[in-house]
Parts: sequence; structure tokens; C-alpha cells
Amino acid sequence: MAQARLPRVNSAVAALLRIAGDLRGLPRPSFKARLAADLSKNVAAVRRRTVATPYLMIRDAARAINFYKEAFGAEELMRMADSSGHIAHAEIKIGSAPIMIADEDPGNFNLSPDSLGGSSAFIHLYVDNIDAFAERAERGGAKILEPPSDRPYGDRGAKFADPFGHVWMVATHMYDVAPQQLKADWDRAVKAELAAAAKPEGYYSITPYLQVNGAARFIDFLKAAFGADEVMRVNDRDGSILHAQMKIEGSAVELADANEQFKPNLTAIWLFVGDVDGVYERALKAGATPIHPPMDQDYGNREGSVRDPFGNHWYIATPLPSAAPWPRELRSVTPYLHPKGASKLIDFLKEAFDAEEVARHADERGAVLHAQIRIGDSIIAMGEAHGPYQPMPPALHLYVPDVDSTYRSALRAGAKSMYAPRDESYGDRSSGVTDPFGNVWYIATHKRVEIPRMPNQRQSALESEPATEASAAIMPFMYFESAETAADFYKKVFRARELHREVEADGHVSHVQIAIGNTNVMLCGATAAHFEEGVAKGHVRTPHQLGGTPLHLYVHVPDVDDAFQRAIDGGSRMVNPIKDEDWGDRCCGVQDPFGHIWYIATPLGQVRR
Amino acid sequence: MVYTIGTMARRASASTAPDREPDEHRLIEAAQRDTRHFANLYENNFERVYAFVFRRVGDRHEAEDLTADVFHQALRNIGRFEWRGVPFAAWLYKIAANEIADRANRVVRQSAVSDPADSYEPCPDAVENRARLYRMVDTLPPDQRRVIVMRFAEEKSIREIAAQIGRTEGAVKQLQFRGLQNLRLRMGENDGEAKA
Repeated sequence: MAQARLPRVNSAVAALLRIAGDLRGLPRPSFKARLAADLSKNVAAVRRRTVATPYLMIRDAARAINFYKEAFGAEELMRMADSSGHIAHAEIKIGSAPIMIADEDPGNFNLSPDSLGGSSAFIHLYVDNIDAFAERAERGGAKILEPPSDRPYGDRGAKFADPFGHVWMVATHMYDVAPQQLKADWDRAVKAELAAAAKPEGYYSITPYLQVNGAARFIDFLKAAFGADEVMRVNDRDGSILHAQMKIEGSAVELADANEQFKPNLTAIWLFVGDVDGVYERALKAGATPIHPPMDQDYGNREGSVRDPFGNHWYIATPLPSAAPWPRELRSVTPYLHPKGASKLIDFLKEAFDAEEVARHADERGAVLHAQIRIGDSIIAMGEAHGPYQPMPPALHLYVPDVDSTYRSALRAGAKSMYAPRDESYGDRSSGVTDPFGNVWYIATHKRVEIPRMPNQRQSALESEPATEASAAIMPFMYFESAETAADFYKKVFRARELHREVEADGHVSHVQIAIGNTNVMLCGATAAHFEEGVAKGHVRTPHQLGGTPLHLYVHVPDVDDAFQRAIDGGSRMVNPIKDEDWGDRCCGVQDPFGHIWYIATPLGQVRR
Repeated sequence: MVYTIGTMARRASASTAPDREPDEHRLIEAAQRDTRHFANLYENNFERVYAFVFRRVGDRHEAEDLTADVFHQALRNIGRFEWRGVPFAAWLYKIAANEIADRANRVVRQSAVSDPADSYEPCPDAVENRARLYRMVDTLPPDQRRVIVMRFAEEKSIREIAAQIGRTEGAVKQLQFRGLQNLRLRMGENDGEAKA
């Protein structure tokens, strides 16, 4: 039509007119923007159908909504209440998270935590800033169950209880952790926990077990040279040491007199101390012979080494201040092996004990100069045998989570069995193998036993409570001809732990304090002079002197049958046979070789049948 | 590049040639995973749907209603869209055609007049062209764009525009002329041979 009125229009103008005609349908930008906003609202609605939304039942929902606004910064989206204010349905939003709320309605099984006595579901919520959130929540009246802390899965999270009984886990996501990583971390933690549970307290995974001729003298040497502490000592009837545990710089060393079954062995130990030169001097004074004097080594230690009078090597070391830190698992007492064919030994350790290689330095021909191998929470060091450092295979006490499976994998890897896993009376399940390099492995899993308590029995005052409380705990003082002999007996029969002993100048042991379970007992063996004096005063009498005892002791043990057997084996006399008693214990009575009378019991619920 | 729906309105998008969206498939999958990503599809197809509908109904208000319906329906049903290599716009056109037919039927029933043969489909090229023209407006210099939008989208007179932007009517006409000329040139450039 335009053309009809403008007959002579040129083609350029015609094109412009066509453009103008086409533009008649140009959409309004405001419409485009409005529709975008509408769609965005619907996106929220569509999304909402795809997630589970918490629907909180609350006693006094109206007050709760106020609380959530105040403490959690919630926004109220809707509320449907009847004339009495009872909220049938309400929706709030915390950040972008929708939450539905209703007043409880017990008639319809809508029960609040107040009615149920708790809630079995937590609400997990992500927020932008957990620390700010926690501050506001606490001000608003939320109870902080766990303050904000960094979590291993990449969140910084906290846990709150609101006044209405609901529990909130609120977090800010800091970084992503790959699911495989999380799984690996978790598995490692579970393994570590298992490994920790499989060790007695105070033990790392690996403890050298030194078998020597003259263990008592060896103990004296360790004390004099390295300031070792004696933790326990078990004597055999012939006076030889069946088993002893020492601690050097916090690490355990076990030792025993060698015998037919357990032959003497030689061990090399990498010993980390604070003052190399001082300890080196003391070791020499105590009878050791030098291998080489302390020197700064280029691998980061100052080290000096000695041979002790029993032939064991001690590589005494301190990391130099400039050195990179050693791995945490390198304990103060670390066995050092000098095998022929170290790389083969490493393969064996990996296969048998799930060991990991922490470090390996080899020469150009591949011979291992130095390697560190981690097993559990400990490290074994080694270097290929050379020069004065020829193989000296030690015995190593290895705690593992599952002795049976480790024993099997050790045999598969080429070890020879000494004895298959068996339950030991001291609470371990243990086995012995010799590896292809002659090293002896005592593989064990510790069975942790909870010592049962008598009702109202107090925690031992001396162990864990302040002195003022001590008066509330009764510690029996018992009299013996020899406190030392008595202590050995009770260690064997009751698995008593020695806490302390007092030795007179003449070597006579006057007092041994032991713990049976969590009760402390003082064993008194007076010197002849003291004894006479005590007798004269009329308050020191052994049962034998008195012809009996008016004081009987009732003791709980993990396994009454076992303890009874040990008591009898040790020379006790049965007073009462083992019986399930109607007060809830399986119990027996014995008179020990010293005349004291014990009732030994295990609660019926814990008796192993 | 992912835009949230909030940025849709702000985003000037004329630079993308409508038939060369590289990863439409990916955009659709993203929107199916999380409907917040629907914003990209909306941004890329708004002008097309609008142009399609407007050519069919010829009325601005009806075109807006229908365009809104089409996108709301597409958002609701995005999860059911199956990628078969056909442009996403084709699916939107189908929704639009159904909507228009529904509306026509309602009108037909009300007026008791029957015209079932109303199956006129706009030529896809024409729709594409028109959509491109709409987007091209966003690429004009700001003062020209303002005049073109006021004149054609908001349907204001030259005098109203002059009053609103504080220029003389002559100046407004001049801006409009230069705007149209620019659009013609740019359409021609992008098109190779202008479809005159």
C-alpha cells in the first residue's frame, strides 16, 4: 500500500520500509525481562519438586518461626493458621533452603520432639558463612552442640539444637574432596582405630624383643646407659626373667632371659635421644664399646654408635636442627636391620604385613643404602649388610588388628611358623614366625578387656583423682614376708600392674604398690628390723603369724575360671569352688600361698562360656 | 558460559547468530539437570518464539501471552525433551503451534464458527530472519536503539519520543532513519544477499 502511494520510491527506501514493517513485531524489552523473572520464579517451584524438604513438627510453631527468623535469619514465605493461631502449614526459607513447619497435632501422629523426647533426623543446611551464622544462632538462643570446625570432607560445620528440640547441622562448604579421597581417608582412619585397639596401652605397632643371657644385668645396663624405665618384670621360679618391659625415651623395649625355646638374639636399634654426645658417653661408661663417635651425618642426624655388652648395636641419634623432619612413625626406638638382600626383605614386609615404603636410597647398582618401611604406626629402618654391619636378625613384637590373617599372609609371603595364633593368658592372641631373613616376628592382637567394677566402686584415687579425693578410696595394706614375691604372684594370678616399688639401701623391697583392675593395693614386706618392730607394736602380722586372716578381699577379673586356675597353679588353696552366684557373679574363693583370702569373681554377663 | 536466570534480562545477546549456537545439546542437558540453566535456552530462543507467534497472531498482547505460555510449558517439560539433533527451536515452535491452535479452538467454540484448516505454518527462514532482526536492534548505537525500541516495540509517536528523550522531532526522525539504515545494512551483511 505504501508503494501505491509512493509510486517512485527507490529500492533503498523500499528496503527501509520493509525493515520498518518487520519491526512492527519488535518485542518490548520490558516484556522479555518480566518473562525471564517469571520463569525464574517457576524454576524455584520446579526445583522444589525435585528435593526432599524438611517438614518440622513443632510445639508452638509460631514461636519457632520467630526463633528461626531471629536466630537463623529465616524468611517467612507463608503461614496458614486457624483462628486460635494453630499453624496447619507454614513455609520459611533459610538462605535458599525451603523448610516447612506445622504445629504438632498428636491426634494425627504429627508429633514434635517435645512429645517424642527427641528427634531422630537432623536438618543439614549449607550457609554462606558458618561462623557468622553460629554467632547469630547462639545470640538468638540456639544451643551450640559443636562449635564451627573444619571437617575433613571440605566443610566447615557446626551443630545446634534449637529450643524446640530440632537439631541442625549447618556448614559452609570450603573445598571439594573427591569421593575416592574421602573413602580412602575413612578407610585409613578405621584401620588406624582398629590398629590402636589391637595394641596394649603404651605400645606402638613394633617393639623389639631382646632375648639375652643375663636379662637382669641387661636391664641395669639399659637404665644406666639410656635412662630406661622399668615398666614391668616377670620372674620365673628360678629367678630368670620371663618377660620385662622397659621404656626408653617413651618407646617400649621388651626383653627376656634367653632359654631353650627363645634363643639369644642380637638387635640393632636406632635410638633417638635429646643429647647424642651425653648418651654416647653414658653408654660407654655403662659398659658399651664404641663403634664410631658422634658425628654430624649428611642425612640430617648427629649420630654415634656403640655395641652393648650383650652384642646389640645402638645407633644413637639426634636430628640436626637444619634437617627436614623425619616421619612421625619413626619412634625413639626403631629397629635397624642389616639384611642381605634388603629389597627382597622390603617385598616380604609389604606382602606379609601390608608395609609401606616411606623412603629408599639405593646406590647405582640398586643396593639399598637406607630404607624406611612403615608397618602400622611404626617404622623399621634398614640398610644392605656391609662391613661391620652384618645381618643380626632381631625378634620383633608386632601388634596387628587381626593376628590370624596377618599370620596367614606372613606364611604366604614365605615366613616359617614357630607357633600358630593362640590365646595367651595375658590377654593377647599371639603367634610366632621366622621370616626368610631370620628375623623373628611375634605377631599379636591385643584383646582389650574392660575390668568390671563393683557397684559404687571408685576410680582409683591414685591414678586419676586429686589427692584430696584419695581419702575416699580404700587401699588395703597387706603384709608379707616378701613383698616382691607377693607382687610376682599377684601379677601372674590377677594380671596386677606394678605401679611403684620402694627399695631399701640393702636392696630389700619394702613396699610394692600394685593395681588389680582399678583398685590399688599396697604390698608390704618389712625389713627384718621393721618387721620385729611392727610385731612388737602388735600391728604387723602376716596371716601365717596370725593363723588366719579376718580380712577377705573380693576382686573382679575378666575371667574367673582362668584366674582360679592360675591361683591354684601358683600354690593357692581352694576355699570355695567356682559357682554362678545369685548376686550376679561367677565366683570362687582361694587362700593364696601367703595366707590371704580372695574371692575372685566375674560378672555373669561377661563370663566367656 | 552459564547464565543464571537473573542475568537474562541484562544480557545483550544480538551478537550470536541464531543458527550457529555451538552446544545447544549441552545447554539442554544442563537445563535438564538443573532448571536454573534454562535461562540460556530462553535467552537464545526468546526472539524466535516471539517472532513465530507474532507472525501467526499479529497482535502484540496475544503474542506476549503466547510467548510466555510457550516458555512456561517448555520449562515444565524440559525433562521430557529428547535430543534427536533437531534444533531446540523446532520443539518450541511445536509448543507454540499447539498453543495457538488451542486458543483458536477456544475462540472457535465460543463463536461457533469452524475453520479447522487453520494450519498455516510460518516459513522457518522468515521466522529466523525476523528473530535476527529483533536481536540486531540491540547492536545499534544506544540513541538509535532507544528510538527504534520506543517507536516499534512501545509504539510511541515521534512527538512522544521527542518529548521523552528531550530531542527535536527532526532529530528523532533522523535517529530512526539512521537506525533503520543500519539494520538494513547489517541484515544485508549477515545475509550475504539481502532478500529484497
